[in-house]
Amino acid sequence: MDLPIVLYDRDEYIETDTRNKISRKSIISGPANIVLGGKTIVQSDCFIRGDLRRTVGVPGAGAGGGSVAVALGRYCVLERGCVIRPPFKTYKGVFSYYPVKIGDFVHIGSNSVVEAASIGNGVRIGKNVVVGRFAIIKDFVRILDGTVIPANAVIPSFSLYGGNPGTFIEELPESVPELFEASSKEYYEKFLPAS
Amino acid sequence: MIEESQAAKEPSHPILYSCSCNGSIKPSSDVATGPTTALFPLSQLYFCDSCTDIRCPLCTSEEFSGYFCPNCLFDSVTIAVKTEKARCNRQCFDCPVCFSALAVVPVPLADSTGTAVVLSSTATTKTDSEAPMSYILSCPYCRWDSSSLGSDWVFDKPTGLAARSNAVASQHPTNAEFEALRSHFEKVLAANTETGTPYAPSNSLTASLTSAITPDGRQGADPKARPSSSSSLVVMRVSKLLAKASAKKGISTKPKEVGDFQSTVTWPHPWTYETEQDDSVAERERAAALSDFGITSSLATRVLLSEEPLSLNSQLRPQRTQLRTKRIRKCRSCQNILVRPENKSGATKFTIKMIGLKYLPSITVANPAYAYRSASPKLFLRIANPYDDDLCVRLSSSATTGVEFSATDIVLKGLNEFGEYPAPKAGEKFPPGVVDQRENWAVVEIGGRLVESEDSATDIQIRIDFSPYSPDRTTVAVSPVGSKKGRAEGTFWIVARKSPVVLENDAPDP
Ligand SMILES: [Zn+2]
Ligand SMILES: [Zn+2]
Ligand SMILES: [Zn+2]
Ligand SMILES: [Zn+2]
Repeated sequence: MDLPIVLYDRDEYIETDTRNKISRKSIISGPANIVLGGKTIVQSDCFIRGDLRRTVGVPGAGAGGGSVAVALGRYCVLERGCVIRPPFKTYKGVFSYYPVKIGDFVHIGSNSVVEAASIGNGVRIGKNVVVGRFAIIKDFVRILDGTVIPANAVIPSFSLYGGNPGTFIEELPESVPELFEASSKEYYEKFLPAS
Repeated sequence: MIEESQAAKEPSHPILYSCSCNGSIKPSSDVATGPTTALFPLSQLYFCDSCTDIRCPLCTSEEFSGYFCPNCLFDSVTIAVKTEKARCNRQCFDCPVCFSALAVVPVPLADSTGTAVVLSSTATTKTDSEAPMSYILSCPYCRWDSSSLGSDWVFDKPTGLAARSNAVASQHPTNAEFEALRSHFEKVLAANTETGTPYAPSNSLTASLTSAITPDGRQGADPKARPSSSSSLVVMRVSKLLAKASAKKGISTKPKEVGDFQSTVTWPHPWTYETEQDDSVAERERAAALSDFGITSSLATRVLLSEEPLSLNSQLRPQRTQLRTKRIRKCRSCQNILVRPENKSGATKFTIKMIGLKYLPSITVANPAYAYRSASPKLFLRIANPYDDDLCVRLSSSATTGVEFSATDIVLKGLNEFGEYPAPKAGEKFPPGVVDQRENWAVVEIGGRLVESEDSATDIQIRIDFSPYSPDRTTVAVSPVGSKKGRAEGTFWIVARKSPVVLENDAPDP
């Protein structure tokens, strides 16, 4: 089935120079520390914690420092109610946050919470998923609705994961890079303002 | 008969492509007269350019081209895979209770066998203190940790854990039994290949194998020391498989005798405590503990762990993480390689990738919006061209089904990577019967008796012929599959699952 056209309220969304579409009903804290790659959609009631940025080991990361806390690639979608929060740990006695890096063509379903260290390209995360602190999700992965990925978990490419805790279910076919890229682009093209 | 994967079961794939193999491993080269039982979504199909035909997971074969650990992502070489029984030989272990990856966690030496171990959140990193530390495996999800298993599972350094655990595991009777079984079957195999006859177990061998596992004198002596039920099952299963294989080949040569398999291990029968009266205190305590589900091992655990069934979580040992494979995929008909992954560690690219998405017109159910325009139930299909050059596509169906097409021959523009297509001119008309056409796709309407009938169980079967477009030839040249090597040309059937795709007209206006 073709993806349906999603119509949004023109007044609710801000469109950036790089054609990101961001809902005004989402909380984007520390926007200076957030990078969006372009054509990325952030829907209502999301919470991106750009304010939780690394404070140690980064030169110039003091007040107004330029460290990136959350980086999202191109053609990503955060559905309604997603939370992206940089993971934290105490290393050598010093508490710090660490950046979250998310690749291109990543779709995160509604009400999911992501505290990963990195998410690769072409990743599909379902609704109500928890991605634990410092989890690493490689390219071309699908995570079913309601999955809980434990902290520090590593999920290799071409995997389908599900369950609580999330475990490997099956391999994804070799065609997923093409498939996910096409569907991410289609989603963006069909996310249109109601006239 | 055909195992559908998770993806195929989902309703988001109402269009399934038929592979001519019909589920047999030898695909036929005839143009199919209808869809076969081998139905897959386009994303799971392959295209063999030397057979110029669709290939599916059933009519392709796979060969291992690499092994990697899904947790540390390190590659393993084949020889190590054999000696390590396809498990990670670094630091990766799965939690025996919930199967999450375990972390190596430092604990103060004094606490190593104690009960209240405070887990550091900085897993695998060294702490500042100079105090000697020991290391345990700890589950970040369910908090299981290896300290309960005693000193075998408390390590003095955070490296070389697999070697240590191997030493522990090799003492386990299952290991000895596995090695004994393996060497037994290796002998059987060697004895029967030396003579030039392919391995062919006759009834006598099957009998000799099974005789090794039928109850013998040992049974009555000690009720808890019957021959292992698990190893007897293995012997039985292997001999059955071998018998099946030889029956298929029509071979009935009598194999060389290698003697019966003698199990060197005696096991407590898994359900001894239920069938036999055992009033020992230990047994009663064990039985009482089993009523507490919180500490009883799960069914998944018992099935997946290689050792004997253990009923309590506290008895379970962590398992080294099983390796995953990278595989080459070949056409079973001509041995042409259809998929070859890059061998580099962690690479996700392919040096060869003959997937259906790139070689077959994609057919999807068009957005429901089209359906609202019509008065009766209709099916709208979007047909897209995956090639760079223009393509002719012909839709047809067998006459008896009564399916009607608003257009049968469609010319699709080549795929443009950059999305640069001429803007539709004002007032430009689509070709007759085409509902919508832009870029590399067109939408056609499918109607007729089958679509309108009440019988929602019937799938709609459509035959697709495609060939390169040339301006002087506007119709599709229907030629048998395989006649023109390497061209964008072929014939296949699709099945539109009816119930989810045909929309009634009572939907509100969009
Ligand atoms: Zn097939
Ligand atoms: Zn590993
Ligand atoms: Zn666990
Ligand atoms: Zn072939």
